[in-house]
Formats: sequence, C-alpha cells, structure tokens
Amino acid sequence: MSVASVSSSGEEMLLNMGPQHPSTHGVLRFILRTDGEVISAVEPDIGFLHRSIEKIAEIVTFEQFMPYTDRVDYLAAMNANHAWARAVEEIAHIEVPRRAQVIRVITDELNRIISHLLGGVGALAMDLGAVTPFLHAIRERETVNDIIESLCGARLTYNYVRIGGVWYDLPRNFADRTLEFLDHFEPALDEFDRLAGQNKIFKERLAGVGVVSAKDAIAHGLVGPNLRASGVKYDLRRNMPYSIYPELEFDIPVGQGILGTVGDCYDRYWVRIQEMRESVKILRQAFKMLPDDKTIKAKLPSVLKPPAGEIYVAVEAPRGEMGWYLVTNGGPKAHRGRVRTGSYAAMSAIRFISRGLMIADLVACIAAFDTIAPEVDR
Amino acid sequence: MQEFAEKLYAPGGALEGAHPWLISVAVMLGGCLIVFLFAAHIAGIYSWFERRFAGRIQSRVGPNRVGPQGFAQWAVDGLKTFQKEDLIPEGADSALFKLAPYVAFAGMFCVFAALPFSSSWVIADFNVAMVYIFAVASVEAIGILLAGWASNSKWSFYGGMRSAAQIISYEIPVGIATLAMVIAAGSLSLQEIVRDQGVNPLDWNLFYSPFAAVAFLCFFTGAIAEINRAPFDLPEAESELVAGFATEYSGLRFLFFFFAEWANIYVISAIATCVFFGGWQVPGLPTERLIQFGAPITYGFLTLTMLGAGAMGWWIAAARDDKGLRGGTGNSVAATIISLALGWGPAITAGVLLWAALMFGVPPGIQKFMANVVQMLCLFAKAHILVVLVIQLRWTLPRLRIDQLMMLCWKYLTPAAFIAVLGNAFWMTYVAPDSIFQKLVRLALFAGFVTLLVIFAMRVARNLRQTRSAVDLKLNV
Repeated sequence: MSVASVSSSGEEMLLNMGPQHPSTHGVLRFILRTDGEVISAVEPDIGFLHRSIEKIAEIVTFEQFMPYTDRVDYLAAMNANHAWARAVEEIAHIEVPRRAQVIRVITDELNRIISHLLGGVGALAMDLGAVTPFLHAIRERETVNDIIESLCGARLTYNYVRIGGVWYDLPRNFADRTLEFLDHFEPALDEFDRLAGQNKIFKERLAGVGVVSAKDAIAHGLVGPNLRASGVKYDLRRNMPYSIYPELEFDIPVGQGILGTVGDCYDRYWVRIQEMRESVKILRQAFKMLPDDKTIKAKLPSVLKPPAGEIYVAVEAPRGEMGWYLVTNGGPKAHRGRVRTGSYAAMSAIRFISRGLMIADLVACIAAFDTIAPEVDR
Repeated sequence: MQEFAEKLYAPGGALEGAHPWLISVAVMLGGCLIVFLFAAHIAGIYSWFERRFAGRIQSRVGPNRVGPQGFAQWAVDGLKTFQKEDLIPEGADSALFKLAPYVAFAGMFCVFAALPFSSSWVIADFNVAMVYIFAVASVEAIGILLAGWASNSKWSFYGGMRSAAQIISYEIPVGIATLAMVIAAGSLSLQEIVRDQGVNPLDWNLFYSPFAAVAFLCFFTGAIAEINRAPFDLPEAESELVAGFATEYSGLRFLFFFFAEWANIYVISAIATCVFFGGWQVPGLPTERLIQFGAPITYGFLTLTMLGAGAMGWWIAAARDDKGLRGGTGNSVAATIISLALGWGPAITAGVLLWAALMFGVPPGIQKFMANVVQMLCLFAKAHILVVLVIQLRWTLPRLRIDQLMMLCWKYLTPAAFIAVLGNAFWMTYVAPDSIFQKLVRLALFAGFVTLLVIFAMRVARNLRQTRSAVDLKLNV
C-alpha cells in the first residue's frame, strides 16, 4: 500500500478505518495517514466483499444469473436486474412487451426512491450523527418494501425482472397502494428535508466538503447523482434512452452549488432529494401508461442462445450508470461478463478529495458518495 | 448534613457523648449512600426514559417488554452487564484501564455532594459550592482521557483526546456564565443562590436581566458539551470513532461510563435549575408556608401512595403475559407475593398511616420532612423539563465537527459569557433590585420566555399538521 509505505516523520499516525467500522457501509477498509484529526492521505483498500460475480456470469446460463445480479447492488436490486436483462435482450434481439417495460420503470423508480432513502440521504444523516432522519427514511422505505413484497415476495433481493419481461404481473391493488404511498411520501420527504437538509449543523458539515469539480468528476469516471452534483447534466435515462423513459416527462436535477461550491457533499445530498421527487413524478405518469394487454414476458426458446458478439448496455441505477459489457459465443452462457458500477468510481474520487479533510469529513464523504461495498467489489 | 450530625451529638441529642468526628463521618457516609442510590436510579430511569422518548421521536416503539411500558428494562440491562466478561485488551495499561471508569464516575458523583435537593437537604452546604462543582466535574475529563490512553486503541485515543480538548474548552464559557449569576446572588454557595431567588417564576435568575438569559444559553449549551452529549458527542461519535473512548470497554466498566453519562444529564439540568430556575423553590409557596401546610401535604402524599400502590398491586395481580400467565412470571404464587410486596402491602401501610395521621395529628418533624419532599419533587420536575430538552436535542441534531465545536466555544460562547458577566455586573451596580425598571424588565423577559414557548408549541403543531398525511397506511395488510 502506497500510504503505508510513506516514511513517517513521527508526526503522523497510520490509522486503519475498517474493514469493521460503522460508517464504511459494508466491509471496506481505508488506510488513513493522519496528523491529529487532519487526513494527509487515504488509500481505499477494497476487495473484502469480492464474490466473483463476474466469473459466475460465465458459468451459469443467462437466466440463472439473474439472482446473482441482486447481489451486485442489494440496495437497488431491481435496477441491477434490469441492467442484466437489458444486456441479454439487446444481444439476443428480444422484443420486450410494452407492459413489462412499464412495470420495469415502475419498479426501477420505486427502487431508486428507497435506495436514495437508505443509502443516499438516510445513512448520510446518520453518519453525521443524526439518527432520527435515518429512521424516518427507513420508515418510508418499509412501506415500499411491503409494496414490492406484494409484487415479488422479496424485500431486498427481488430477482423480479426476467430476460424478455418480468416475473409476475402487478397484483390487483398495487397501483392504489403505490399511489397512496406517493401521496404520503411527498410531504414526508419535505419533512425529512426540513429535519436533516435544512438543519444548520447539517449544512455546515457538508458545505464545501469533498468538492469534486465537473472536470475531476469526468476524469474519475463518476456517474449518476455524484456526477450530476458536480454540475454535469448526464443521465442515461435521457442520454442513452431505454425502455419507456423517452415518453416520460421529468427533470434531471443538477448540482447548483446551493451552499457556495458546486460539487460539494451538500450538492450530492440535494441532488438525491430532488431525484426522489422526480421519481415520484415518473411513477405517477407510468401508472397511467400501463397497457391493458396483459403480456408480461416475450416468448423465448427454452434454452436461450444469443448469437456470438459483444455489447455494452447500461441503465441508470441509483448509484449511477450500471452497465454490463457482455461477450457471447453463441452458447447458453456468457463468454465474459463485466459490470461497471458507480461506487467503484467513487472510491477513486475519495482518494483525491480527502486530502486535508478531517476524519469526520471523510465519513461524510463516503456517505455522500453513496458507496456500498458490494458494488465496489462485486 | 453537618447540622444534622451536630444535632445528634449535641447535649440532649440522640447520640450524646459519642465521638463527634465519628458521628460526622457516619452521617456523611450515610448521606452519600442515599445520594448514590438516588444517582443510580436517576441514571437508570433516564436511560429507559431516553430510549422510550427516542422511540417516539423515531416512529418506533422502544423497550416495552420488561415491566409496564418496559420500565424495568434499565434494571435488567444493568444486571445483564454485571455478568459480561470484563475484557482488557492486550497491550492496554491494565491498571489505568481498570481505574478510568471509576474516575469518570467519581467526577459525576462528587457534584451531587453540593447539589441542594431542598431547603435543608444538601450533603455539604459549603460556601464555595460553584467552584467545587467545576473542579470535580472536570475530573471526568481525566477519566475519559485515561480510558482513551490506556485502551491501546487508536480510536479510543482519538476519543480521549477529543474529550479532553472539548471539556477543558467548554469549562470556560460554562464557568464564566455561572459567574454572571454568582455576581447577582453575591454567593458561590448553590444553596444561597437558590435562596436568593424568590418563590415566584418572575423572581428567577433567568429573568434577572437580559444578560442572565444570555448566561443561561451559554451555560446550557456549554454544559451539554461538557457532558459529551449530542450534538457535542464527539468523544463517542459512533459513526466516526466506533465508540470513542469506550471502544474497548465491556461489562461493568462500560456500564459505569454510561451510568456517569446519564446521571450527568440530571446533574447539569439540576445545576441549571438551581442557578437559573429557582432550584427547589416551589412557585408561590415559601419554605415556612410549606411547613405550615405540612399536615395536609402528608395526608395528600399518603393518599396518593395508597392509590398508586393499590393500582400497582392491581396491575401486577391482573397482568397476563402472552401465554395468559399471571404477572408474567408463570407462577401465581410468585405473582401474589410480588403484588403483595410492591402493591397491596404499601397501599395498606399507607392507609393505616393516613388513618393514624388523621386521628393523632402529624408530628412537626414529619411536617418539615414533607415540606422538604415537596421542594425536592419541585426541583426534580423543573430539572426534568431540561432533561427532556437535552434528550430532544440529542435525537434531533447532527454532530458538529471538531473545528466547528472549537469555533462555537471560543468565538461565540466565551465572548457571550464575558458579555453576560460584565452586563450583569453593570446591572447590579446601576439597577436597584426593587426599582420599577427592574420589575418591568423581569416582566418583559418572562413574557418573552412564555412567547418563545408558545411559538415553539405552535411550530411543533404546524409540523405535525403538515406531515400527518390524510392517508392511513395500513402497513401490515
């Protein structure tokens, strides 16, 4: 490790943050070189949660691999499912029925809301020492979990999307329950923002901390809300349109530098809050677009053998672009699968922004980047 | 306490002829034991109260399984920690590691010695009580620093260092802010400061001058920081430093740190009450009046005890656990014994005493005793409001960063505290205590305080209205 090998003058201390540390969001390890509270260097040491998911993609069939994608990002399993399904559909030229497309958008956006609630803003508030906003976020998430449970029976690793469609149709009262939740959620989100985001201490803690300029963000390959917080208007739902997103009306929130600097931790928080509001808009529209045709899955051969070729397909997951680079050889299994995730890119950004920060700021940065360990390691 | 001891060995006292020094020590130790038990119960009950309260804030339930509303949770949690393994990490400075929690605890406990509970109940009513309190309260910093240093863990070390920096810095605005009120009262004795304030809320120190209100804000903010409570809980900072100075502690030693933490909430609230809110002064009832009313108070107290204990006995006897077993014990004989011991027994005793009091009158000693009890309950009620405030702050606010913490202390609180002292000194010199101006200022400050409370209540009501959506989410259907 480069940090550890720097010769110490005796003024600095080497500090291991993790793998067991409350705010590294899973088993991550950071090696810090600190002078008192001030950090002079950080080395993220990743790999503790490596599960060879990409290797598994080569040894199971395309359909069998679907449950594994849940584990790539367990806070947003729907989006991860969707990414894999789209990659295979694109390479095998499968036409997905309209109803399944709409259902996928509904589940994606529901999942985006709860992922942002838990990882993006809830855990951020908790890492700043405010436990109550986190539990309020969890409370709202619980309702969505119940709704999704009624859809697919699972509350975390859904395994709901299928290649060529989705698993089950929506249950009878699904739309009513979801819309009821949205009516409740909008004021609840405002309350959350008043409790956490408008708090003086919260703002002071995040303003001007961990600034990533637009140039740096692109250079480090940041994606999703982290990239948009730096002022780059780039969202795959608009820039690489898929599913029914082109037909939907929604805005792409971009970091405004509300507290002075564009691309600081507060902008990342703010962008996520706005994104949840946009997701609510999308959900309301999507329910109106549900077709009456009940077909939810395309007719597929019993053993799917896409033609040989290679493809890169990505979706906009809560932690940014989640893309699969897929190489096929005409057989029932992938020749090579490679997933590109948002948290991994954020890890490289943490390394350069954390110089000169305090330990408490580093914790805020990790949380504001919304990194989760399974996405980093796979 | 000293007076009580003197009375015992004086000619005609109960222990006439005994060695005065021995009696004094025995009486002091007895008082300490009572206060220790008081502190233990306060800390335990507040730990339960905080968990329930936080549960309400966070839309969850909180401990509710042991006893009514989970009330016995603190006791069983305490008992549980007794049986936990006492781990001492390898490479730790074993002696200091073992000593640290007791040092931290002693710092908290010694403050109790100077806290006046009522007009005549105080362990040591000495004339430098305020100085003494600040001296012993900072012993806690030594305990935490020791814990951080001796643990042989970098996270503990950070916690200890942060704590030392924080407590030492915040002692300055806290001490100076209290000085503002010491000037006004003309005494360092806490008992004198309380006596100096009148019985009515208008006569409380908080409304003495605008500077007194500033002093209160400085004192209370600083005191929260001194006891390491959120938003100033940097020494523990569970999301940054794992558990700060307590990272390596387990079992009883860990318990002692948290014993000190929760008792400290009461301690700072009680000191703030004594200095700014009239301490044990019962609004509208001076001590002599209370003693005059000793007999009716005794009747009322006994009646309440009778009814309360009776209700408790009824609750225990009627309570059924999930399996329909009596008293949650699964044993009806045990349930009967418990309901007799905790409910029916005291209820009957109180009833008999009430009858005796009504028949034969209440002795003057008991009347004085009951007056003190009422004053103590009054102090407790006032302090409890501040405790609720401290708990509410903890569950609302995020934590400050260390530089922001220091900035708040040195750039805002310390100058404000100095202004409060100077302002109060000028006020004393130029504003006569009985002048109409002073009375008007008191009235205006009191009105302002009440307005603040009303505005706060209105904002809470508005927030509740805004968030409570018309939709009732039936989560479990």
